[in-house]
Amino acid sequence: MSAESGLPPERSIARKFLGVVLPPLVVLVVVVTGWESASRAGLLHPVLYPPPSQVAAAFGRLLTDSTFYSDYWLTIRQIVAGYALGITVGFLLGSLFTLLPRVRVIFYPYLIAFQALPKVVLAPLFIVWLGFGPSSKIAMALAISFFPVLINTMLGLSLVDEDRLRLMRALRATDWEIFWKLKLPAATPNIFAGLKTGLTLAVFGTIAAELVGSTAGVGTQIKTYDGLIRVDYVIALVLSLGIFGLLVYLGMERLDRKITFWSKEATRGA
Amino acid sequence: MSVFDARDLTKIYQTSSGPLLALEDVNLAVGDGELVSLLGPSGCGKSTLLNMMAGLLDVTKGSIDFRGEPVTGPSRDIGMMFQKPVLFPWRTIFENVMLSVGVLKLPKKSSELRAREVLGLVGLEQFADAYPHELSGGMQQRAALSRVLVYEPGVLLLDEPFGALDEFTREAMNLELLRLWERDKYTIVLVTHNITEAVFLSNRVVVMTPRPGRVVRIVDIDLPQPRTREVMRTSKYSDLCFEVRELLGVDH
Repeated sequence: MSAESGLPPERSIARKFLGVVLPPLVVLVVVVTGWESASRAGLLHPVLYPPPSQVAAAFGRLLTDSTFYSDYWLTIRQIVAGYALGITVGFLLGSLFTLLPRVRVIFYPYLIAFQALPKVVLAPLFIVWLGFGPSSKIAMALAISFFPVLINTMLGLSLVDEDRLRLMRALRATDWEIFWKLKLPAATPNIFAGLKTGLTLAVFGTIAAELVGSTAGVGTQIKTYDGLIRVDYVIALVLSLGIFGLLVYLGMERLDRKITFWSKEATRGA
Repeated sequence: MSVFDARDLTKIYQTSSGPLLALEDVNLAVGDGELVSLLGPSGCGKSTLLNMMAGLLDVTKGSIDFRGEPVTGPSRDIGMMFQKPVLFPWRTIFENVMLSVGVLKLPKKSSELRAREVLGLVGLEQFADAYPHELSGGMQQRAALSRVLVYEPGVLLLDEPFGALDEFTREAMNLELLRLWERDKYTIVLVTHNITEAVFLSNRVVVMTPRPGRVVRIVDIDLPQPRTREVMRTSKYSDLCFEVRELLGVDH
C-alpha cells in the first residue's frame, strides 16, 4: 500500500507531513501563542483565562500528584464497569428484540421515549438512589451507553442477505445456526459502530455523574479546582480527558479494524 | 426410479398486485446420473422449478417427488449453487467450505481432509487460507462448488452458477463441471439462459418459455460422451443449438 502515491517512501512521508500534519500544527501554534501574548499583554483576565504556559505548569504538577492517578483509576474502573454492563444489556436486548418481534413491540416505544430523554437529568436520581459512590456513576454509564449498541445490534441482525439465507436453508440450518453462523458475524460491523459510540458515551456519562455528585474521580477533581477558581487546573484536567478519550477511541478503532477487516470488501462477489 | 419426478407442477406467487402464475403444468423426470438443463429467458420459471426441487419453495398444484418421496424440505443429498458464490466474507476459503460440514454436523476430522481434497480438485489448494475478496469471480465459484462437494451429495442443483462469469472463465468452469460429473456420477440439474452452454453440457435440455413458465419441449442431446471442446465443431452440435433457438423464438 506504500506504493499508493507512486512516490518513493521518503517523499510520500514528506508530502504527508506537509499536507496532513503541518496545517493543524500551525493552527495550534497560532492559537497558543496568540492566547499567551494576549494574556501577557493584559487583554485577557489572568485568572479566568490563564495563559497556556500556566495551564502547562498545572498539567505538570497534576502529573506528579498521586491523587490525579488514583482519581483517574477510579473513573476508568467506573467507565469500564458501566460500559461492560451497558453493552451486555444493549447486545442482549438487541438480539432478543430481533429474535422475538412480539417482545420488541411491547418495549420499543418505551425505549424510544427513554432515548429521547437527555439522560444527564438521570444523574441526580441515580445519586439519590445509589449514593455518591461508584454505583451511581456505573448506572449512569450503563444508562447512556446501552442504546447505541441495542439499535446497531438490531440493525445489523435485520440486514440479512437473501442469498445467504437461502444457502443456510438449503443446508437445513436451524434458526440458532442461522443466528450464530450468519446473522451475528454479518452484524459485527454494525455492532462495532454501536460499541464505539457507546464507549464515548460511557466516558461522558461517568464524568457527568461525577460532576453532579461524587467524592472522588476526575469529575470531582474538576469540580474541586473549579470551586477554588483554579481555571488553569480545570483546563489541564479537561485536556487530559480529551487525550484520554482520543486514546480510548483509537484503541477501539484498531480493534474494530482487526475484527471486521472483511467488511469493506464484503460487497464484492461474496 | 427417477431422482426427480414432477407431475403437473404449478406455482402461483401471491404478490402485492395479485396472484402471479410462475410455473404451469410442468412434467419432468430426471434420471439417475443425468445432466439436465432448464433453459429459457428470465421469467420462464426455471429458477422457481429448481427451488421447488431443492425443497426451498412449496408446491401450489401438482406434485414433485425426490427419489420416490414427495419433497417437503431441503435434503442433505442435494447440493445447491447460486449465481453468486455466496461466500461468507469473514471466513477463509477453507472455513467457507467447512460451513456445510458444521451445519450438517459431519465428523470434523475426516471432513477437514475431504475439504482439502475437494479444494485440490477445483484447483484452490493454494487459497485455503485466503479470504473471498482476495479471489477472482471464477475462483469464488470454485470455492462455492467445493462447499457443496465436501459433503458428497448425489444431486447438484445449479442456479446459473456461471452466469456472472466472463466467457473464458465460464467455458473453463463448464469443462471442469463435466470432468467432475464424469468422475463422480452426480445427477445435475442446471439452470441457464445460455443456449450453447445448455447444449454442450446436457443429456437433455428442457426448453421453457415465460408468462406463464411452461415447458415447450424437452430436447435430447445425443452428442458423444465424454464431451470435449471438439464436440462444439460438429454440425450435429450446431444443429441442436439451432433447434433449441427455434423453440425459444428467433429473437432470443
